[in-house]
Amino acid sequence: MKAPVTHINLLQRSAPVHTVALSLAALLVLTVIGLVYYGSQLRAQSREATRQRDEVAQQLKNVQARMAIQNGEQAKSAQAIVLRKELDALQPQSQVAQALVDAVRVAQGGRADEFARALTAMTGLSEPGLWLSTLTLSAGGKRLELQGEASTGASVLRYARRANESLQPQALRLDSLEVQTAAAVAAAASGASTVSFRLY
Amino acid sequence: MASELSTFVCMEFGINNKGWTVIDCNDGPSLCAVSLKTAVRTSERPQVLTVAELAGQGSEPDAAALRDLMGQVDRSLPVLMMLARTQYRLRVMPEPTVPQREMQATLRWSLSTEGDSPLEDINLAWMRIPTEDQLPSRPKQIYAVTIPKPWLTARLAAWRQAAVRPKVVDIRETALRNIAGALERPGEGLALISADTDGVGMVFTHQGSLYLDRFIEQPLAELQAADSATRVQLHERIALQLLRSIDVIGRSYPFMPITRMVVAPSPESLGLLEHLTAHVPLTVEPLDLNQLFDLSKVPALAQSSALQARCLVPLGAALRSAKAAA
Repeated sequence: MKAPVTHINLLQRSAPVHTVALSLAALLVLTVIGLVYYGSQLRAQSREATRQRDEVAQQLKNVQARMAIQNGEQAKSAQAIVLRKELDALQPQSQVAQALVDAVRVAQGGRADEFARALTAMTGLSEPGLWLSTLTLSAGGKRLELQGEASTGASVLRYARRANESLQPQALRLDSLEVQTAAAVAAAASGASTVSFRLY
Repeated sequence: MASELSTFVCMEFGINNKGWTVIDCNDGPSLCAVSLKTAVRTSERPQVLTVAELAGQGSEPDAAALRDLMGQVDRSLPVLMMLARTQYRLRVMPEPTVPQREMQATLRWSLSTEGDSPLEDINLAWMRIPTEDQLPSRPKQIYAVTIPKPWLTARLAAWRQAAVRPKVVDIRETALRNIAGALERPGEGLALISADTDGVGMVFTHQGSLYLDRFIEQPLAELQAADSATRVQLHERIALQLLRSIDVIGRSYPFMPITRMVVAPSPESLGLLEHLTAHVPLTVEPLDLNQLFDLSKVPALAQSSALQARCLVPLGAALRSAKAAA
């Protein structure tokens, strides 16, 4: 096998005279380049982190704002619930007032004072679990008839007694009482047994 | 980028496949340059593109002469500078038994003990004399070439002034070896005899490698002025040296019998070819450069033996990258 022929070259690159100095200079340059590059990378990362922080802060603000809105709505809802409850509680009195208004509407013109007095006397009374549906003043203001409903018969009796006490100055008296249990269907729908009454 | 890097690496180590522009700064009456294109098909010969010769310059031509010379050759090819024999020292020495990577340092130490120059003041190149396959038990030898670094640095500066930036600096023996290697037939040892203005050189090659070199100092001017008797004495001296060298080859490298010798063209008709043909019991042949090179672009070279003799070394040097073509 033919061995490869060697070609010589006397032009050999000799080592630089200041090898160490040049090496150090090259190392310094490389270090500076590296630091500059690293610094630029660091600055870029810092800018990115700052941007992300600002974004997160903005998102946090938005969330807080939405939470505040939701809290306000919840508070409003709670108030609405309370108001609703109060409204429900006032419903019987409203009905009584409506009955009185109706009564006033049907009352004759010369009896307004008597009616007003009777009305004042009746609205001053409050019996839990009892509400009026009709207040009728007839016979020239000498006869008063109340119709309504109550949860128990005892409350009706208590109301009758207290009504007579209040009507005493107007020379009115409720002597008769008719009580009857409410219809079975109505009782089943309401979930409780009620009685309707007529007091005159 | 990769192409540039490849070019840089090739240039740095003297590897090139396109061709070379070779400038020969021999101690002769002229400065010579050739451009050789080696990037040819395998079946084709390397093509000599241009030849330029500038008279009146020594081995250290000035910048103007170099510029003038470079203006006549192919500047696109990488430049190879050939040194004159007086500018370097070639020696055979035992190959140090050290790893390859330590070879340079070891050789420097060895050579620094022989000369006066500090080891860092020389440029060193070396090449093996390959015997490990045929004679594995024989101590290995190498050719070592040295030149003084300060001198080369000064020459490089002078060449740079002429815008000549060589990629390779080579010696004459390897250039002649390339010629002989290209002429070799398989298995044979070949002797190439060439004459120039300083003397007669011989190289003995086998498988393209240089095994022995000899140089007989004999200025051409003296030979031209000599009478016929003196000239015969010189021819006999050359023939004797040749036979001794062949004897050395036979004893030292028995695997490469020298059966043929080729005589290169001479600057003048010296009668050397005829004398050797008549007195040496070997086949003696004249060198035909057309056998190795495509000279169609340089008819002057094809027709002039003197110019062929002058351009022999640069042409041989330019063959360094033409292994497949040659």
